[in-house]
Amino acid sequence: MAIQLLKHSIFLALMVGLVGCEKWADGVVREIDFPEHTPQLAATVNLFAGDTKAIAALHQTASTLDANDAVIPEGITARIEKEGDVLLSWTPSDTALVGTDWDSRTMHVLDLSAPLALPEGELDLVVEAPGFEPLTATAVQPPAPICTVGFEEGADTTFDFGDPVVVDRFELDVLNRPGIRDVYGIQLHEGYVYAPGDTTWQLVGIGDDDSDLEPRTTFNQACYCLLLDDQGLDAQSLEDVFIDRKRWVGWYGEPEGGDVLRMKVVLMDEPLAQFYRSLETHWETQDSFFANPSSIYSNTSTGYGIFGLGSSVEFFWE
Amino acid sequence: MKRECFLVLSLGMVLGIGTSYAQGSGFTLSGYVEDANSGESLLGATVWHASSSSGTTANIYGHYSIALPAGEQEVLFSYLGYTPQKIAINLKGDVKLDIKLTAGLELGEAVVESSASERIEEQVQMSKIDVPIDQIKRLPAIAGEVDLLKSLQLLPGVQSGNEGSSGIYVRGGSPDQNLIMLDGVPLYSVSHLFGFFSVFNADAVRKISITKGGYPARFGGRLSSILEVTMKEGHKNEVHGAGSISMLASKLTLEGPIAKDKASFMISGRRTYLDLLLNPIIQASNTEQSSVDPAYFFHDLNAKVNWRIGAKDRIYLSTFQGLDDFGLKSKDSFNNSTEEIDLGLDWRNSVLALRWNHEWRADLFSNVTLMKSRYDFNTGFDFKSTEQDGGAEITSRFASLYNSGIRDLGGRIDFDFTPNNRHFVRFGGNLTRHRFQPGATQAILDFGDEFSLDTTIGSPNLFSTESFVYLEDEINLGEDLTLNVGGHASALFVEGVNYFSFQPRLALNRRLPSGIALKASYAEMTQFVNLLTNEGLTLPTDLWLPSTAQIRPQQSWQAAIGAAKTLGEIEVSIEGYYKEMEGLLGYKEGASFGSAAFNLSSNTTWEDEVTQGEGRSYGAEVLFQKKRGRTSGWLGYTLSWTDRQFDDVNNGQRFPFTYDRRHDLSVVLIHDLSDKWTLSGTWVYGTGRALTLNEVTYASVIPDYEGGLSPISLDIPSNRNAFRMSPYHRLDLSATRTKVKENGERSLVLSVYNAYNNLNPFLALPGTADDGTRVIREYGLFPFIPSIAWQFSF
Repeated sequence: MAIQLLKHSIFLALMVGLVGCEKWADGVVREIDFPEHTPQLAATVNLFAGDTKAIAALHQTASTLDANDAVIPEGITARIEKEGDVLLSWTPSDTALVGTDWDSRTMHVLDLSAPLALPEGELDLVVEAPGFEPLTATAVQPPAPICTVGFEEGADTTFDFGDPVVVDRFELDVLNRPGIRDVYGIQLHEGYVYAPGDTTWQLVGIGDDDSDLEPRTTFNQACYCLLLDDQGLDAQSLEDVFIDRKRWVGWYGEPEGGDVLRMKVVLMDEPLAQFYRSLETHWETQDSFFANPSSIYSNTSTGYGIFGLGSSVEFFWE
Repeated sequence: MKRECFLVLSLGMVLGIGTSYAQGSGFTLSGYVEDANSGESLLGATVWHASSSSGTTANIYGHYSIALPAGEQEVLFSYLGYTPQKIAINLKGDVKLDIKLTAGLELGEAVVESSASERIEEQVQMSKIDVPIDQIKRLPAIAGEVDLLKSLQLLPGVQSGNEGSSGIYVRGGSPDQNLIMLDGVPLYSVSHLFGFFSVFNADAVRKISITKGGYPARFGGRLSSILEVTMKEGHKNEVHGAGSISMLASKLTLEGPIAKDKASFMISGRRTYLDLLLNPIIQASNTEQSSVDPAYFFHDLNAKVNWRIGAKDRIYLSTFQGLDDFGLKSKDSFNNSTEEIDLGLDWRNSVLALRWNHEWRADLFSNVTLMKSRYDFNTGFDFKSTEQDGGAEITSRFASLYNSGIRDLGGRIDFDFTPNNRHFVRFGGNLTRHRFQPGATQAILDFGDEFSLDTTIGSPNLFSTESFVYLEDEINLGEDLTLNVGGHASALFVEGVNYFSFQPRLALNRRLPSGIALKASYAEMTQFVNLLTNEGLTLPTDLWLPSTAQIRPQQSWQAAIGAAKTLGEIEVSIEGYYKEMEGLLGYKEGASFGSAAFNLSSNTTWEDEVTQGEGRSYGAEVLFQKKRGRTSGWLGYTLSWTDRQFDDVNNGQRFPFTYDRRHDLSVVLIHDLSDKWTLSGTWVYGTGRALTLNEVTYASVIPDYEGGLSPISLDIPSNRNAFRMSPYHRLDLSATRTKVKENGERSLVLSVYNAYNNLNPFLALPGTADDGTRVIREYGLFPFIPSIAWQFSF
């Protein structure tokens, strides 16, 4: 009797165990009680002096369990004001595809007749759509950064896993504003000139190798730029900021690279820098099982999106 | 004001002692209570003087001391699972009397009396639970390996962490808030196998108890619990042994006399052998061109020697050594190049304690402890590439080794003073020197003649000195009122900063005519060490760190009230508690172990990665416990709320603690079917773990790599821990068949973990269901796991 019982028990155990292994691999789909989501307005409007297009991502929020996360509310409008005067406005029909051929979405786009030149100081963003609470945000349009950049081509030669690498060095001096938290975004592009007026620009990775970083800068993946922050250095000029660009030596002994170089230095509103930083941290925590979750910074009244402003200067080398 | 009240109370206590002592006309009976067979001390044995309705318990060395009136007296000595002994003695002076109790119960009047003296309603200490080791060893165990900490998770007020984890969360506290002492020495990491097993080998342990609140003044240094684990002393008369072979590990324990009746030893070792079993199979599948060599094992060793030097002195030397070692080596050869990767992770614990007991007088006993504790964690990788270029060999190497650790060196002295039958005074002090290594990374880059680097970066070592003194008095204010009042004063010196804390303690027990005891307690605690951890798992990567000039100590206060009564053979207790904590340490949003450990360019230290905040926990606990008889076990239920608040987390708003568990129910049953068969089962139910999920999504746009703009969906997390995983429930079963042979016992243990195969969630991730809808998919770790173990003893 006992042996029979034991036999049946082992058989039952094996069966339950086999079923269990399948569940183990696939996970168990269980309904976690998600609250009903009430859509709200979300807006990403980041504008830089000199832009030729004013792009605004104006959408409604969705639950992460919803399939469509890019719904544009009917009749949505947006405008940028200074003390009640409308400087820019988007209407429901100002839409166009933004992105690349393989990844694009409909957003609100204004083709500007002249490079964007917003007045300095506080500007307000107001986004409205029927049936939604309006979204408002305030940002500060900074002045153009005052800086000089020195460039030394082939300043150094090093090796990367045995391969020679030519190092070009940029020396950046920034005249910093006292009493204001300034954050600068620095991007380097190389251009391939096919014909006069036909240049293709590509972003050059600078600073994504942490070990070579100038200590006052951090590389941020969300803006694909180096962030130079005057926190703790207020009222002091940020001088001798050295930035290296590495070029591998090609088959014919010449360092690889484009025909022309362009460095863009953007003085951005501090909340915009905060958005980029929080977004990068958010991505890192999303990928890490061990990290505590991290939210994305927003300066809008609904808590979704960012209104950021910046001014830039560009430097070119052939 | 609170402190002034306690000073007045303490003064009153001292005056009270003096008065009582001056008026006392009795004598003191003292000695040790021991097992008649093995000679081992019976810690916690009860000594009861019925005619005065007063009693005491033997301390953790088995020593007792009780003040009695002169003349003919009857004193009852009892201990759970042993035949009580009633001693008649004519007291004409102080008497030293060692008592030997025999294992096994005999029915009779003495049993009834002993039960009365041991009853839960007589104990002034509340929020303390003892679980007999023999009961724990008969519980179902995953992979056949009994785990003491997991057994404690079945008690009310003590919660488990993630599925399978051996970490314990007591009354809303985190694992670092448990003072886990092995033979009086703090242990820092108590986990094997990435937290799935604890380091305690049940065969080497004599007694385990946990105190969740109402801490007596002799304890301090942690906010949430005191877990005392006492190793076996070793059989004083004969050599005995025990061992087992389970699916996970094998272990062997030997004990016996060194000098009969005077000195004994106990040594117990355990090792896993999955690496030894799998290694030949893995080696067979490797080739000369490509090989992979993974390995994992843990082992631990407990050893203890004790020596009775004369009638008044005893010396104990005990040690624990534990190691977990995980490694993965791989080698790939292609044409003229070879790549070798060596990954490793190991952590080890080492504890050494030397203790000296001395009985100064019949009413004054002392213990001196010298201790050394060490914990190390190392992890790293070594990548090596070799290429044959013509006749030359070009080698490049990149390696990184991270290590962290803590070293303690300290001493402690404790006194037990029994001036009369109204007072039991304890006092003493402790001094510990800590050395913390918050984490250093050694980076090696070697590219032959072209470039090489060997540098170490990381936070510098931190040294701190921690000390405390305490005084407590258990005052018998009559037949139906007992009070334990005391104070614990602690200090920390670190980085040129002094922290000082006075922590009042109070507990009282009022027995009602109905037999119900009403209990209340108040305790403040201060903690000078912190475990920097992510809430998801308790891992060896978690960093032990001291309070510093920047990081203030953790502090808490807890008040509890309760009632207790023994109904037949079942102890029933109900308690309510409220606890507040502050100075809790946690990573800032987005920070983790990895961000601090391997960021070679960062100028930040661990102090820049952390934030401090508050916590709150309150609830009620019910325990029905039956410790003896053919059917034993307990039922525990906890209803609780726990939250946290950090200025830098969740926008400064309060949020549920990850292990905030509204309902927690455990049912434990052990039944001796016959002399041969024992059945046991446990069933647990708990509210699902709190977690943060991405709740809202919206479309946005960011700069892309080409210099243009790229559309992106941004998922916004919910408020911290706003969601709940599915409830946790699990049934474990076990059947043990024991054969008694001439030279010992042999047992075959069949056990089933998760008998009805409920895949309890370990983590939850977004996914897509078969019909294409988005869902949250929960993943479990442990399905139905049958196991078998063979045990023997001689």
